[in-house]
Amino acid sequence: MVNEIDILNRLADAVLRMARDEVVQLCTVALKQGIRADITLEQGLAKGMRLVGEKFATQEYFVPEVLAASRAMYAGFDILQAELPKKSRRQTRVALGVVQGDIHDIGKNIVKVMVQAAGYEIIDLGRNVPVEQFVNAVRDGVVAIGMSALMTTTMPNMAKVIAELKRAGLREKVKVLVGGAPVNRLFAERIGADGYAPDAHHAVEEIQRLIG
Amino acid sequence: MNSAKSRVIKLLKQTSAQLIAEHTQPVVFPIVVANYAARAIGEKLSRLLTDPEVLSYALYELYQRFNYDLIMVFTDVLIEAEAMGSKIEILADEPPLLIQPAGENCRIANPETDCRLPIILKATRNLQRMTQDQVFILVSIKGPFTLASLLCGPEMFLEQLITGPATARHYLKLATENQLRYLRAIINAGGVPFIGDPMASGSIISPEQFRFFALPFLQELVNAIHQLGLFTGLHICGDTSLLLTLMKEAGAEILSIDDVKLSFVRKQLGPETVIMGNVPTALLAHGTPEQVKEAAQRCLQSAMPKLVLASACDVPVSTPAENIQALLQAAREWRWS
Repeated sequence: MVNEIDILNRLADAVLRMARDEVVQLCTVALKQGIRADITLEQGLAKGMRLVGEKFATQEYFVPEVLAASRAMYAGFDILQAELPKKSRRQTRVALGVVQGDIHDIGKNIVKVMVQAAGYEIIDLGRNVPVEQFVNAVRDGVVAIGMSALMTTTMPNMAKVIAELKRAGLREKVKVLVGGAPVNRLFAERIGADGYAPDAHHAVEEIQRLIG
Repeated sequence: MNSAKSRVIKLLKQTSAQLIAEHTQPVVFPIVVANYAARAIGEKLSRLLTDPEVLSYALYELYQRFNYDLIMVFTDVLIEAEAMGSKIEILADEPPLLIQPAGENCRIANPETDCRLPIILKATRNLQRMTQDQVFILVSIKGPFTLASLLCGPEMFLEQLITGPATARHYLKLATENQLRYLRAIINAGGVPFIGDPMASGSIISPEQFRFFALPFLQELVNAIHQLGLFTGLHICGDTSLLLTLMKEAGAEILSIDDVKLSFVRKQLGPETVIMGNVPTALLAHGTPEQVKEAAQRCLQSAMPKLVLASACDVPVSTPAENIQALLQAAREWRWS
């Protein structure tokens, strides 16, 4: 259906332009036209957020644009939700959190939006997250944890989480990703993390690379 | 007379050519604030955040111990937002948390009476007396952009820049009005208001957003400080490489740079702008004294003579004293010829 592709493209574009009302309207139209909700989600809303992520990575978009676009995406998601197929297969779960001592969570929240849009289920551990809480998330079956730190003083807590996972015999069960302004690839390698991303867009790519 | 104060005045007033001709030594200030000072004197951070005597004692003790050229009174980013009605939680030994932004209930604070603002003013008066007017007491004041974000809630505020700019401006105007009042109280107490605007970072907002939502309000603060006969500084955290010329337009005499190479900053801003910075905080916390010294030497080579050799942001609590000494030593060993 030409019409279907057209509506989905316009929807992705509306997310990219942060046009909340238009996103809501297009999602309603999509459902009326009989376009499947999961396809509308994947090829409309999520595609829009991927485009947002690309613009964020190239510094065309900054944090305010990402937040406004994600607000538009969630408004559309609310329309689709009732029509989405009840989870036939269990979604891959990823836990995200800002490490203990650190309360800067804007970056983590942006990663959350992007990773969610890419189809993963997010367990949001919040900010100032104690070591044990990351470990418990792994016990509960998440396949990856993403840790964020914005302060040089709290970065070592990432290493503590990895050490604790090893001690509990859980390290092989989970992929560990780290990020945040002061974190770099060298640091990630030094503490034995599996992945590192400089921004939310690359965080999605890194998760896909590690767990598919 | 060669007090720290007179050295800073000289740095501000003289041209780079004059400073070079006189073989002027660097002004140096590792940005020691309440959190590091608390750790260094073995006191809980919460004590410094709530007791002006402990705060001024700790900052004076560190100033004496290391003998640098400035003092900065800074406890936490939430102090003004709290006084304007945002709910915070003070923890024993970590920075306070924002629990509930003031939102619609925010009000202009009275610096002499509201929440912890009087603590800052009292500590400033104490330090002024303890140092016998020999050193400038910088007092941190948040830029309106950052303060507005803490009144509205950071993510809500950033989103409003796109979806509700009128709401964003409403908070920016309240924040500015509050800070105009607070900066007068700081100056009356003998302090030099020093603006920090971490939320207006180039890691968060675009140059256009900075121009519309941060710059005009910063200029109001800077103009007010100038009218009261003082200089000021502007510190913005993170990567500000796209914001440098806009930061300069704000009009502050000292531009404090976190995460941009000083050789680039110097090229962008020209030889007569006073730059402050920028030994990386990660290096201070985790590096060796040799690495710290080398980084400090690179700063000196890139940005002297109109430079305050400083840490990139405030000195992390876990910084070994030897690393602070290494930063100071780089300044003392600087030679012109």
